[in-house]
Amino acid sequence: MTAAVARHAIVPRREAAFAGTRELVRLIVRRDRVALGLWVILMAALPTGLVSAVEQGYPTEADRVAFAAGAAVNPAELATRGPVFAATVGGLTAWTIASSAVLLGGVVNILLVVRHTRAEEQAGRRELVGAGVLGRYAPLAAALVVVTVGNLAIAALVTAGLVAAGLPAAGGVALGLAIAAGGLLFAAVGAVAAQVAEGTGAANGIGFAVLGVLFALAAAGEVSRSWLVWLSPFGWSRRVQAFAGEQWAVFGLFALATAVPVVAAFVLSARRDVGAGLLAARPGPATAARGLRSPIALTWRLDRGGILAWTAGLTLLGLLLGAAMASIGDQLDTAAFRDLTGTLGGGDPAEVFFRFILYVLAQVVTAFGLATVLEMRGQETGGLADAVLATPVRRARWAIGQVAVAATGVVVGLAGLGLGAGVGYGTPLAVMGTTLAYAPACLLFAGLAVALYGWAPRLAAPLTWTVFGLVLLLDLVGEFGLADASVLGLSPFVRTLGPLTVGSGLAGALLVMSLIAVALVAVGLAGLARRDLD
Amino acid sequence: MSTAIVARGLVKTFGSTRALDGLDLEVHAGEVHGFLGPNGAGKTTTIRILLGLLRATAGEVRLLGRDPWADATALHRRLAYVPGDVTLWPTLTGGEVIDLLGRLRGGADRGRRDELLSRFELDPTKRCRTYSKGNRQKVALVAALASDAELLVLDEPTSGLDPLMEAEFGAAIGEERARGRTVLLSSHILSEVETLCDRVSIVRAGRTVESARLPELRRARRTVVSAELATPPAGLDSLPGVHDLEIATTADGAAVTCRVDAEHLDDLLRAFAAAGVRSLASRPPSLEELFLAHYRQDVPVGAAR
Repeated sequence: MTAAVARHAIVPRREAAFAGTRELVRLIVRRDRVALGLWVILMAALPTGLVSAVEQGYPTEADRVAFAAGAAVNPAELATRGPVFAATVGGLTAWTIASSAVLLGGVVNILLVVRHTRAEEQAGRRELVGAGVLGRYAPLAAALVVVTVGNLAIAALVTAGLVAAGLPAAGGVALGLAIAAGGLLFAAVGAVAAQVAEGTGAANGIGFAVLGVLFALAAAGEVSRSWLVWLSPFGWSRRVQAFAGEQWAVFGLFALATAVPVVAAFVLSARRDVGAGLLAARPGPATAARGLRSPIALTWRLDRGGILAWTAGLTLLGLLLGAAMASIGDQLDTAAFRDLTGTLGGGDPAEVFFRFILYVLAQVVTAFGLATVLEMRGQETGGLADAVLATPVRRARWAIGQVAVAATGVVVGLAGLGLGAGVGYGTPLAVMGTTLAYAPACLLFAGLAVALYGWAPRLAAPLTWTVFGLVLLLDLVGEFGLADASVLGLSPFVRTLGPLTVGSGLAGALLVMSLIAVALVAVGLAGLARRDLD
Repeated sequence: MSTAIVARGLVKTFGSTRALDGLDLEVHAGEVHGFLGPNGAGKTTTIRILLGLLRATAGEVRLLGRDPWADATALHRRLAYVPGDVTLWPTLTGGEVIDLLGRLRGGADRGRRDELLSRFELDPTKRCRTYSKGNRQKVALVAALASDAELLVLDEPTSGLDPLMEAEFGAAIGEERARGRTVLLSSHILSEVETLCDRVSIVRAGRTVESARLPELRRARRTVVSAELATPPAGLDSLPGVHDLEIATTADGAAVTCRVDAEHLDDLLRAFAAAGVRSLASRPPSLEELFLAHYRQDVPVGAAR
């Protein structure tokens, strides 16, 4: 067989390879029309909403300049949002939203692409559809078409909203495109992850890991003011400089960094079998390990890979942040920063920095804990819970196994983060106390998820994520002084940060939150024992 | 204990849907009991109540003499379950799942496990996500059969098996019966139930419409009779208990087919004898005919053949 023939056999003919894309696009839109609509509207509403928040929180130019000066010397703000390029309403809006929108959009885009490619294959539906007239490239092409249209719609709506709010059009276009470009780049990352991994969970995990590493790269680069920021789309989204002398050339980086993984994903998709990944499943043990004899052992066996990878990632992130802090230790000790830390409880600059950046990272850790607890619902509807509960295992014991593993993931992750940061900064163990202080706040949300799962299983996931999202929104609003202290106090993260800043009352706050978390779990278990299983 | 499962007037509603509407079920200890019904008749709902996963809205249910909801954990030590749609943990191997389920149940016979694995030709080193439907079913079957549970609850256990494995399953169930185990076998494969089960219960729309030993069921139904007679018989159509009578006159006599109630078989045979019998064939109604009789009441019994 000649090389030309072999090549022809591998790469399908173009028009045939994309056959059926249009039908699949319609199927995706039909299945996800509500979620897609909500995603576009919410992402588009965020920047516009922020404009009025900035205007109300910082009405005069002097206010804005003062805020920008504070942000410029606060390494936590630098790490998560980058430098402020212009102390105007537009500039501050772009600074506040660019990184968050790319982070949020990245997660949504990865989830969407994996859901419509790998998840379909894993569920076997791809085979049903693929037996019809369907090109090899069609499923991936359809998923990418849908997210591209979604991201472009977000860009258009963001631009329209910002212009309607009275901001310059060029900046509006730049910010809208930056948000869309960030989303598309992670859609491309998700596309490759979906080809490489055989399971949906693993594909999402790979995508999130890439997201986390790129975020950490930008954070380290911003804090140490180095070229590292140019390796990450988070750095690019800030350096588009919306409302601060737009840098249109940066979009070239986005285009290149999106095109390469998209092409790679298409090539990979044509070269592998349907249902298979590049990371093939190896045969495993014929008998179970001695310890695999309880629900908690089962959950650990299923989730340990994810928890270990997750902990390693957080430790690495901590190391990066700690090292970046160590490299700029002296630069931090300025009058402006001492001023800032004075109002925030003072102390070692690094400690202040970690206190704030951990505030953000604790929320990410919480999301991981929530996802692990809510796996219970998936196991119940998928029939996996039946298999265990038809043996002499009480429901509470099964649920506690899942909760214990989730809590372990949260605590070990926080400890790894603190240990990494401490080692990177040169004070091992010192930072770990601060990171672990966030554990009760994280676990309180996990407790809420269990309580809802016990009593309202169908609503558990949407309600828990909504409450979690509202708390995050509360923080964003709180930053602009728009929310009352009593309202802000509803956030367990604020309840942790407060005592950490003031330096007293921490033990009491942590005890109360831990007790609430335990009580919520108990309430959930009581509900679970009483209800029918789906 | 002579009764393994008793359910009386079982009702289960999901919102406005009435999945069970006064279902009765009685399974004797040591028997293989067929639980028959079409899709959506309430078989799986009943089984999930028996397992304590659902709570009955109304009615009385006892499993091995105890309440399946309140005493679920204790009862589960004494039963093994194979779900109709087997889902397994995708990253675990089949061997791991079998061992895990066995240990959760309090230990399984290692030798029997290995024997069953080779009988069902199942590779225990494969990850569950790579198994076909039939192979997933085998994992659940091996886990259940390797346990020493006194009651096996099997929900359409052969729906993914090939005919060879179906035969192997039949043999395994025969052995379980010989060992004195009770089996509740939900199915809609009638030939399987016909060969394996001692008694059957037929459910329709959440109610039990028939529950008896197979021979009793047959006796209660009309036997199909066909005969070649030397002369056309007289007065057959006026005989009580004869239905669907067809008489075809042939060159040298008559061919008759009809269905007859068991208690009137005598009269029919006398009438045949008077006309001179050349050949006679009769067969009891098949389970399929019984089944269809309950489900398609507009269709006369036996019309399927």
